[in-house]
Amino acid sequence: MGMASKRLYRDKLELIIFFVIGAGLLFQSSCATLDVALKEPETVVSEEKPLKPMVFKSEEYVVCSLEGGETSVALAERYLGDAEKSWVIEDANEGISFEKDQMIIIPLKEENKGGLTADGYQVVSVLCYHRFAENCKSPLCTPTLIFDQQMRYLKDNHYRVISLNELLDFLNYRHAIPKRSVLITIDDGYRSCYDIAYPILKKYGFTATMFIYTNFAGVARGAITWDQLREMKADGFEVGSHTLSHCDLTKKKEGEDDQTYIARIKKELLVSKQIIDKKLNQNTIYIAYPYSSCNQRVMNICNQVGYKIALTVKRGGNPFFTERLTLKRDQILKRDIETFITRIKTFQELSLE
Amino acid sequence: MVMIGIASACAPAVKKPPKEIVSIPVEAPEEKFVKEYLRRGMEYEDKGDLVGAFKQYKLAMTVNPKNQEALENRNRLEMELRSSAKEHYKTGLKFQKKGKYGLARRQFLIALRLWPDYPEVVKVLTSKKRFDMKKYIVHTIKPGESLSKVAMIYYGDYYKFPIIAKYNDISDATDIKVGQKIKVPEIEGIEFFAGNVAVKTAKVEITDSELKKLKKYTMEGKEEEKEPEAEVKEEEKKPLDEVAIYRDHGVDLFMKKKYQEAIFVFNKVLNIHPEDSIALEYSYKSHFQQGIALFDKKDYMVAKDQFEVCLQYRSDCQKCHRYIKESESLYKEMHYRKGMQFFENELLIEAIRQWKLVKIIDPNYKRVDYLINKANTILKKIEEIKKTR
Repeated sequence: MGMASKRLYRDKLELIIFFVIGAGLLFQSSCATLDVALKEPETVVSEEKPLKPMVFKSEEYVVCSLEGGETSVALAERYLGDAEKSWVIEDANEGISFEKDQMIIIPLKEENKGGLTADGYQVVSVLCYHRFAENCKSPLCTPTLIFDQQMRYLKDNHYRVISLNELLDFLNYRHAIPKRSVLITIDDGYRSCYDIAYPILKKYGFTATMFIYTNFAGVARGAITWDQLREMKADGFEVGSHTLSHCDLTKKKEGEDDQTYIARIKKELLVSKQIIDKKLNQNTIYIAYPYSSCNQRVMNICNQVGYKIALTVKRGGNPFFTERLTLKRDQILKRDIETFITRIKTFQELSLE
Repeated sequence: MVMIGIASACAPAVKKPPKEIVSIPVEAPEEKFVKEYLRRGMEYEDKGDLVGAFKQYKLAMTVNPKNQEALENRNRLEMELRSSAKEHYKTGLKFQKKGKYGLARRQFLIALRLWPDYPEVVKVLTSKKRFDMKKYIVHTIKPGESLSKVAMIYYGDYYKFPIIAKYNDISDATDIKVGQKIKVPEIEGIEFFAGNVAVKTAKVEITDSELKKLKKYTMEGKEEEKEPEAEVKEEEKKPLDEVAIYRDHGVDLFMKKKYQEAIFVFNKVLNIHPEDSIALEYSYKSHFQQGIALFDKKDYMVAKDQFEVCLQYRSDCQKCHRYIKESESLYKEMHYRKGMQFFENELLIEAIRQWKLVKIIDPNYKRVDYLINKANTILKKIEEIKKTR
């Protein structure tokens, strides 16, 4: 027997052994299945139970059964390509526990960008803070423990803190946001925003938008620095303008004529934006009116200067169809958790049938 | 052969399956889900929730795209939902035309719920026409006047009343009371008349306090139009005295000797109430204390600035005048001497720099001018020697 024929013989032998093993395994599994089916004829229904997880997909949905152990984050990563979108799956499967064999729905298209239901529409609460300290009495100052308690409440009750950028998409009916969306803003630019609020927010995985007035922030002692703002920005925090000098934009100064007044207001709005743009290398499109003061003229200038969202401290939630240059905000002044809870509004009842 | 052998070997080892199992038709497992979604769809339809039913049929089709019943139901509902959305949109437009903005908005929202991508509705609900309103005049509603009549008076066009309604935040344009004050804005690109006589709008002066007062005229129509903010509005009646809070905070910072922070906070108070005596007093004190601290640190010119600011608050501050004078003379003497020291150590460039600081403030101070010239001459000579070498 030559070398070539020897190799051929060995190959054939290997093939036969492979078949024998394969067939043996097949035999074993088929026997086992039949055995179960025969031993317990009443459990025919067990055939209906999927042996393997099922996945059905269309353009709009994925309907799938869970293997067990999957989280909404993992599913979002797998089917939506973005772990951050886990809320889409959680919102679409409210009240369903993520257990083995549970069928769940994953919407692939944003199906309700306005948050509309038969009973009403989604609104977004924007919370407004100023300063923080270990202990303080002023209503515009929030003690550390109280702030921590409030943030913990949001986390424990599955609220999701969104950014102004996400809110803008919602207001433009461009993208849906989580059902329980809230936004956190901090005005003025005090140092305590970095020292106290920032670590607490990070602890709960939240971000906030800081509205700074540029004659103070980055300049004064007790104010947040540009480096600190940059650090927070890198963590997903946003920075908006609160004007140059924290002035009442609707008020003329004594002896000021119309032209001088408008020039001053334009400067307050534009220069503060330019400073923040340059310092933080961004396009600043958010502003909070100092003292919540605005009128049509101020709004027009904001629009001209390039602000897309402007916030007051008029109380209430914001639906997608609200006026973007007079968004409502809730100042968190009282410290009891009950009052805090009443401030958070994510839905407005109105029959839409 | 091996496989057959194994199969036959397996067969006798297993009991025959009971007849009833064989008789049950084997259904693909997914069909169970299709049926369930179809059942739920029907249930939603029975309840009148077509949006809910539509979703269930789409889910049934996700599981089995070929299921005829699901396909038919989905197509049928899609048609129904779109047609119903169009009806609500039309009704909304009718309400809008009548100036019933609250009711109109509800109709648009219903239309959008039924058809989430309805382009016209998305546009009407999200677009914000912002007119460039420079000036306005205040018109008091007379008996028999409506908003459309007011629009006719000022714009020569009845149909421009929505501009006035929106500018005044009026949710029901038909609900206008005699005596009510309405702002009529001048709009760029639209002629502005009072009857046949053009209104000289440049002379119209409206103060911001008047504007705030006019904000009161936000009215709501029927029950369902109202924004349920009763509790909120109650609180707004007692606005937070933000200025008082800033004032207290400023005093607090002053007591803690955080003068610079206190100044910023008092500025906020003075922005709103320029005459606020406490803010004025403490601003003065804060600047003065800052001046003293800087003076002690020998940062004389910055200290001088602080004392000069103090004079803006209290022009008769004699201490401030003294400190300004003292700061200036100590500054000059300090740099003059530093210059001398550098000069003695043959550091001519540094010496000139120091004397120049003095010269900016007082060109005739001691022999500063002579010394700068002298140092420059020596420098030149050194340069020349270096060159010849």
